[in-house]
Amino acid sequence: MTELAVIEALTAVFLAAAILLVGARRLGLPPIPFYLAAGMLVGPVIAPEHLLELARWGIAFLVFAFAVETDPLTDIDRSATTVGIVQVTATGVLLYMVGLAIGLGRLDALLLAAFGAFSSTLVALGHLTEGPVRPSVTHERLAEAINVVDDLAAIAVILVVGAVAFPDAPGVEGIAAGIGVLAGAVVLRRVLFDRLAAAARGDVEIVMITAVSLLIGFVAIAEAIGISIVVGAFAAGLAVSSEYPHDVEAVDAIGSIEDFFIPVFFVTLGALATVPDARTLGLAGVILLGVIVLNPVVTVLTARRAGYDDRTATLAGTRLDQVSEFSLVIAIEALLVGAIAPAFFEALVLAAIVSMVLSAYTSDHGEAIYRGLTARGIVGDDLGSVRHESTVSDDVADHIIVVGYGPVGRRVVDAIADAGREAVVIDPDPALAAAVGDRGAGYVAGEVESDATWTVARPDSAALIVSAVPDPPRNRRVVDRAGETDVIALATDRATASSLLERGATFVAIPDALAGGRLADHVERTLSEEGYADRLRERGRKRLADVDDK
Amino acid sequence: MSPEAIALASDFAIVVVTATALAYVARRTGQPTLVAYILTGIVLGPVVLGVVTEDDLIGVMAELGLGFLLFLLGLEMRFDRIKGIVRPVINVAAGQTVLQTALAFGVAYALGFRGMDVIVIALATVFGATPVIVKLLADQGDLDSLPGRIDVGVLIVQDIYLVIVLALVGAGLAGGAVEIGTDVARIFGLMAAIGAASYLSYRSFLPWLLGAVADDRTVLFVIGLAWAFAFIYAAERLELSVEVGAFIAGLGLAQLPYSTELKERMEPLTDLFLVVFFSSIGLGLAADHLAAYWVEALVACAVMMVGNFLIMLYLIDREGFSAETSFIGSVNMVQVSEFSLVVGALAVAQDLVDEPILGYLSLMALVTMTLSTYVILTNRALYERARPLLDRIGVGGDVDADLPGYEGHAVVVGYDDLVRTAMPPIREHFEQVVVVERSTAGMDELADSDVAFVYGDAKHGDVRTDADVSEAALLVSVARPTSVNRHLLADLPDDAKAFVAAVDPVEARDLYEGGTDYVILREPLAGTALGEHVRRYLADPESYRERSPGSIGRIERGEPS
Repeated sequence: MTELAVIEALTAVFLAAAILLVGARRLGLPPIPFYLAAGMLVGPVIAPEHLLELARWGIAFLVFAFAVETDPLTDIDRSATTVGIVQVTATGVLLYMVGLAIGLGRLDALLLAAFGAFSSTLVALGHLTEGPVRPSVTHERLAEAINVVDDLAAIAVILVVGAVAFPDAPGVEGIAAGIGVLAGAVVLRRVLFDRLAAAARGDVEIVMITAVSLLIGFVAIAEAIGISIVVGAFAAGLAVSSEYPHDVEAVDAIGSIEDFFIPVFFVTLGALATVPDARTLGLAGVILLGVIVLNPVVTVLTARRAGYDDRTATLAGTRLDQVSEFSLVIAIEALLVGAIAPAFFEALVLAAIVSMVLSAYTSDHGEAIYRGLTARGIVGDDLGSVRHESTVSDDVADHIIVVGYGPVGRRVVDAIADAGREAVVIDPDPALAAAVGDRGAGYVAGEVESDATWTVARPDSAALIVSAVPDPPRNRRVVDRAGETDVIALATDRATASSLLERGATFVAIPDALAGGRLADHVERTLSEEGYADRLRERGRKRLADVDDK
Repeated sequence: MSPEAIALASDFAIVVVTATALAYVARRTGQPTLVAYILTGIVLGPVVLGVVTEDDLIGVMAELGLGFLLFLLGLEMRFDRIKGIVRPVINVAAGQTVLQTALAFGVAYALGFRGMDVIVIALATVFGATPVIVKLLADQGDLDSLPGRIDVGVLIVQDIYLVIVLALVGAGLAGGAVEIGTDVARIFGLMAAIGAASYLSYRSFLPWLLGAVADDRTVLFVIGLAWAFAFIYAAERLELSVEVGAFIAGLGLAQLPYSTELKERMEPLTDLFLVVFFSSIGLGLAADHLAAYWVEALVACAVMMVGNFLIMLYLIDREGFSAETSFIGSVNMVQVSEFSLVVGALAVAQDLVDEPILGYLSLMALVTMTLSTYVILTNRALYERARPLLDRIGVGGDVDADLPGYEGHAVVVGYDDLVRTAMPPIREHFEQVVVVERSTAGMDELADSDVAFVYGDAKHGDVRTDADVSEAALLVSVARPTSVNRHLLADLPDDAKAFVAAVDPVEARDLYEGGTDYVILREPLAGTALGEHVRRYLADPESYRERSPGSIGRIERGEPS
């Protein structure tokens, strides 16, 4: 390899990636399938071998950054985690048997299982783009928890497969050593990393190369033992995660390096795949069926057994129907040691591209999919579970329905109580029931998209409906369900506001504009009235103290 | 394609880990990290341990480090930064380049060098190391002072000169006058062609392209990288240096409002590759090379540091700046530029000189960079000491030009509906209002008003400097995440008023502890206002309904009626 050849390959990689990314951005789709497609485009004109070493850095940084952001010991939601474990195991075992049944070898069948069972954190949560991550809704929290389980399981699989299934693998001792490395990383985080960060005295550059050095160190240990570098990179991420959230610039520095290597990795991966033949397409079809049909079905069944209602289970399922980037890592490791055939690898990459693009569509249209399924009687309604959790009498009337019990909704409920009227809160989080009850308000545990919620909340006999969440689809739903009742709603922007007014809302406000009006007042008086700033400051602090008491 | 062939724990890994260890030592002793990186190469290379050789991966990374550094320098060539002092800066830079080259030539000749050695030494001994000066001045918050701006301006002009020198040395400086003339013409022709491509892109599709993706920093970054690689590759193909291509690529993007943001994204990656680059210089040295001319190098260091300081002092003073500006502006520039090593390494690669000459230049760079760190860190104290002497010899004029910049102004960080609604009183009370925002929507909206716009993320120091936060009288910030606000509050003068948004009560309390005058909790504010609407409705639904058929104008003001 010569320097010019490498620079030539990198130039092709980034030009192709940049062009396709602009397209992805326009369509609002995640970047990874476009990186892979860019790789398939430039594959014929570059020699991907030149990039393999840089691509391995891509893997290392991908896993490293994931580990830095995850704290597996505190992010656990027990019931959702159980769903994740059952889903991964069931889908995995089923697909493994399907693989053996259609005549695949054991390792190929295992990869088929991995591609079907694991879904992608980066694609599902939009971590690689800057889409908002808002796991406030139950099904999103469920999907996120399952993703974390998937990722951890994927790393476990990489550890085990790398240690026992590849040629020249170290065997069971390798697994034990890998676990030892991970444990060592956790110890390091406790005793070493804080000290290093302190010694760097806030110098971002030094913190950055320290993190890179830790990554190199752990990867070198992994290589010395003979296990996958993914395990080393994950351990390195665990070793630094404690101090990072406090230092934006250091996280940003790592992010910038990651953003360089990740396109290199995914484009190289795409470039290793070539034009598929019929058998490859057939295999890709089988993998796709596993990813976009079997996996969501298993997720829905499992989530329902765990007590989630049909709606939440279905919506979570629509978010988990794509191939995980970690599965791609397993695939490329297997390809590099010659453990799988290139044609099988191509089928895997194709399935990944298709499923990632499709899944962007299904998670945006989850609600429509759910309604379609209910209409055909495939999944049921959730009236029973909504009624069970709610505290509203069957004949409630002349009440004021408040949608959403966040900081905005809370103050609206207070205003209603001050006026001596009865409020009924609609909010999907059952944990709020007690707090709502304390304010003398009724409570409906459901989402506005669900028909059951409205059956219980009785909008037709209400005096007024106030939507305290500025979420356009939910507000459209609120206005549609209001019937003759007046609606006061929030909108994120002017266009949404006027469309809601046209749809029949009585009054629409933009929350930031509401708040801005008050802020303008404070600014004006601070700048023109002597002593106003001090009074304002005192009042603000006192109000915060009041919040604490509650 | 066996796993051994692509082992990650390569020489590259050893270089980075060693550099990290030495960087901590450097940090403890107050040295620039750059010295630690050069030392890394010397320790690992044949001079001391001999455990690492320059393999291909190291070569690529070093090349990219240098390419990206020049891309960054190109990106930094924001003409508005030095507007107002352009003429004096060009005078100083031109004079300094000529005089210091002459001095370097004279010193080298006096020390006994002859022939091509003297020419390369004279061309390569350029004073003023951009990374050293910029990093230390930024740490001290002096980058925006008048001496700081003069230094940055001179460094920028010097970079253009260096690109030409690099191109000349890269082409081998070979042949007679005619051939050199043809070479120079060819170089200038190709540079002009690449420059024209860059400029035409800047005039045509680049603003549109970057504007379309600027909301997503990952996409912006990938496009920036693609842009840099395209020019680096073109330059390589045309047998110009990588450096020239990268520099011109940066220039094409520099005048766009996204350049500061892009530069901040590129910096960590560049830092990482530069570690390899600076180490690779050390890797290429042998012990006898470094020591070959150690006496000469030390003598040259002493003479050149003093000589260059005097040259700069004379030149800046001649432009009529004050004694303090002249002194500090010149005392900052007493180290050999890192490009001396680039020029030297290139000259060795072209067989113009032997490795001992590179050893001589490296030793000079090591010594002057190390010493100058202390000089820059203590420049004000040094000035106080030197003041009586400066007075006696009559240094000091009175033109300390009015800097283009903001003072006593309002800084608004983030531009959304909340801020938009609160803008009228701010604009009424302040002549200068600067909005810092990393999406482009606000830029279009504010384009026609008298509100200044800084594109970028306020977590980056350069962006805060662009907005002159340290001179502001009012700060209204809705920036995320919290730590950005901590940076902003730290930069803000004590007597300024601060309105800062928090997401929850815990953060709000921290902000009050940190001296914020008013913490904006947007949801409670909005909730209180919305509750007011509900109260009005409940009091008299009929009249509320009648008066409320929602006019958008009212929505914007968030008023009931």
